[in-house]
Amino acid sequence: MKMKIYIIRAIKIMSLLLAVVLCVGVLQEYVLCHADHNRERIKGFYLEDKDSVDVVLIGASEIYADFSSCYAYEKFGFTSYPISTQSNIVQNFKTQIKSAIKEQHPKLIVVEVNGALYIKDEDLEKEANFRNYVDNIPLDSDKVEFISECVTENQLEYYLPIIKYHSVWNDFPKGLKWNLSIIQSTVRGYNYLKGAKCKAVIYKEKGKVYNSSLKDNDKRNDLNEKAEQYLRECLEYCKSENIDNIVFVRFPHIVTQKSLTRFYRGNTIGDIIAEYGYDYINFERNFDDTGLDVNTDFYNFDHLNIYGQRKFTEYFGRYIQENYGISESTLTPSQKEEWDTCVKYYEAFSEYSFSLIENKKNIEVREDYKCMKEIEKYL
Amino acid sequence: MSYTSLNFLIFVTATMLVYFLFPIKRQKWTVLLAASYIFYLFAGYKYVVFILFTTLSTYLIALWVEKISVRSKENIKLHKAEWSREQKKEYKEKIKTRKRLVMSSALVLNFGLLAFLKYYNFFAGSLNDIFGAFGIGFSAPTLHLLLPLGISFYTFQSMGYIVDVYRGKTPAQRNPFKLALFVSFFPQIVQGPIGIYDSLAHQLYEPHSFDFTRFKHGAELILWGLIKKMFIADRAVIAINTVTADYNSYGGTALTFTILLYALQLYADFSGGIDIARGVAQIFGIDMMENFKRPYFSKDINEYWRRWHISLGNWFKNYLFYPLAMSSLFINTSKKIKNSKFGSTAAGTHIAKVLPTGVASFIVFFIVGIWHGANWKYVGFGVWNGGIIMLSVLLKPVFEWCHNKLRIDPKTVPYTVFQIIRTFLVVLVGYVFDVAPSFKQAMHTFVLFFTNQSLSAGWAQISELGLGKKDYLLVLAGAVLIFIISVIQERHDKTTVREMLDEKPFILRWLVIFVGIMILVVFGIYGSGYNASDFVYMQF
Repeated sequence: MKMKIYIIRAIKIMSLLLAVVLCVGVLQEYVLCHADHNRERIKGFYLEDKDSVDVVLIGASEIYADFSSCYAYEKFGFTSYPISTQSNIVQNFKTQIKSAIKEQHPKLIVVEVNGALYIKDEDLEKEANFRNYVDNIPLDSDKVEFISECVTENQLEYYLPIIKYHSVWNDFPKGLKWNLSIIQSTVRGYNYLKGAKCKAVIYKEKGKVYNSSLKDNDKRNDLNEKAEQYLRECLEYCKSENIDNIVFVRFPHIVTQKSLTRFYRGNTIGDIIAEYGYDYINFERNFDDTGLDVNTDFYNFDHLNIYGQRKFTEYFGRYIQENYGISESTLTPSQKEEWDTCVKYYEAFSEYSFSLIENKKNIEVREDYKCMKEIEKYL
Repeated sequence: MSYTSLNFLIFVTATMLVYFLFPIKRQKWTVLLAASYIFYLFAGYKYVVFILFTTLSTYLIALWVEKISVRSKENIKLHKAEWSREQKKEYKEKIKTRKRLVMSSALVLNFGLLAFLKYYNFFAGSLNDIFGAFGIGFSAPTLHLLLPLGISFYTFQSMGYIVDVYRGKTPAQRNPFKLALFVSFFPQIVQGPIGIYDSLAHQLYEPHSFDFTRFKHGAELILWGLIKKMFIADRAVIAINTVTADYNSYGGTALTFTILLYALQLYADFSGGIDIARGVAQIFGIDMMENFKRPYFSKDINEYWRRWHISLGNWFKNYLFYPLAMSSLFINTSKKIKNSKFGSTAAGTHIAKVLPTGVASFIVFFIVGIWHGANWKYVGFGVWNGGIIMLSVLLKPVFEWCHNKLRIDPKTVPYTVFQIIRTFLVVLVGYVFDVAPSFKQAMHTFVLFFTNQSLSAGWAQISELGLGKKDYLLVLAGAVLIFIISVIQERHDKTTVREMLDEKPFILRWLVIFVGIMILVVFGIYGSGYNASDFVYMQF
């Protein structure tokens, strides 16, 4: 009799605990989180079928502003996906490379080096620059290692992000457009735009543009000490793991008087990468080859607009196809259907962006719930 | 280790497991002692020295006092036949003086340490101000002093124990480790309740087995305490801290609002902390006294102080108020008034009767004020409360006369509501001293209450206190929740809300607990905090 009472009590307590854990888990994953384009993009990477992505692009906002996986597929037939978050810092690179290999065994990994160009410690240590990536990757040994290496304070909040984000309800209903979109992508099994976004505006640089004169500029500036250390750690990791299908790049930026020193740091990065025997392609230096026009293809001096995104995707897609032997992907019928759908959505996304630029509506176009309703009108 | 931290939850769970699985039943209390010292070490290893000092001095002095009593009794018994009545009286007086001397040493050691650590800088500063005003060049140095965790609470608890031994109410504890547990029991060390040896100690030393109902009730009380603290108090305190950080910038309306908010915050925070402490103790089989009994439902200020921080009130009543009111000085003064010409009048008879109570109350509250903190504003707090209590005692016949003249029945509902509101307003005036950074600013606040009220300007300031509209709505919802539960509890004084909940169907019970946990998870103030703007990257 007593035993029966104990068992019933245990079941009651367990059921309550289970209900709490489930409810907290669902809230943490889909409601009480910092949901934005970074989360959707990174979560989307883990939704892709294993070993179905041939090129993984790692980096910061340049990646998703300048390159579209959907458009590259449309033009060249290879699949790709960006592991990129805004202001993605160099500390994240190693774990991102590990994830790319573990999940996809890609034919090529492209690393945009912006994350190693930050000069201030505070940019490299900014919590959001870790969290935009680490909060959105699944819990595994790499994540644990990454947190223990890079996070010094409130480590528990990285394992239980609800501790940090539970007050996000304060932003509702404003923030919910991303939550809804992420839930939809999760149910669907993939996201439509593969992480691409753009801003519908044409940037006009008023100052002198240096890009055309930088082809043979060899001037070097020192990197931030920590940034160099992390970059070297990443390169050493690649070397020790015999990762040779990796290329480091600097995507196109408008180089002005103000950003010249950053360009010089980029040259230093090229030297460091060369020390380890890896390729480094600087599209700031080879700007004219890309066919980009500073008067029409940028939305600010660091990022391309929809015109630039399409031009550069075509250029860079062809470049890696020709130089790294990236051929058309072999996909299952369902994977092919998925990518074909994405291409349709990307074309609608482009059309919508063109119309916004024509109508001088300076807004961001991305895969949130509200924006997708507008994009779908162009399908 | 904060009571609201995950670490504390883990700590309590681990202690619970060790305690209930401890194989030597009679030594289970050692688990609580070890846990209490581990908990104390978390606050800082340096603090342990102070609590050890108080424990040791309390232990030795209590034994000493008891030894004097026992020996004196033996001596009297031994010389019963040979000593005359005068000799016995003389001997008893001698013993009494010796015991008082020992008691004085306890006072000096324990309260001296507390006074030094807590009040030295306050007195040195005040002294310097006085010397400065008279142009005297002397300056007392200010010191960087540690204020050990819970020193006020464990000092009061220890002194209560010594007085009880002195009065022969309780035998001295012979086991220093058992006494150490009484002094340091971890759930109560931070903010009480201040335990009385007679009712608490034996519970600490008894071996308790796991009891599911106690566990359930304890956990429910902890949950309720956490909701009060993390959902209401920690949210409200954001606005209060914003005001106190720049007190002079706020007008009368914003300050009125802040004082009202403070009344809620203080109650939610303090009673919430006590609920957590009592809940934890209950899980271990230990019943600690109730420290709050719906104080804002009090009909007069005396009643308020019997319902607010009850253990502190009891301590002052037993160990300061009664000794003062019953002292020969007070009794003789009362007698003198009674025997004077004035004493033969109705007013004189009344004053002779209540003067010891009134003056003793005033002194007690003066000290309670100082106990709250080393600042003149707390002296103002004590004087206000003591003054009101003294006046209410002295003017009681006047109030009764008014009731008769105006034909007021104090038992009617409207009058009871009036009394509750009146008492609450008196309490709010006291809170002004608490919230204002200084006595001078507290006085200025009273002026602003009457001269600087503007709804539009007030609202503009209130909306900039670090809380959004949604937060204010949550605070309001919390206040309503506390009010409803308080009304239920007030109507069923003999049964707790938890016991009432036990009678409801299983699904409803668990739903209440589930909702409580979810309120805490979603709306509690915890963690490093989230600000969406930290994640905004202006470029893209």
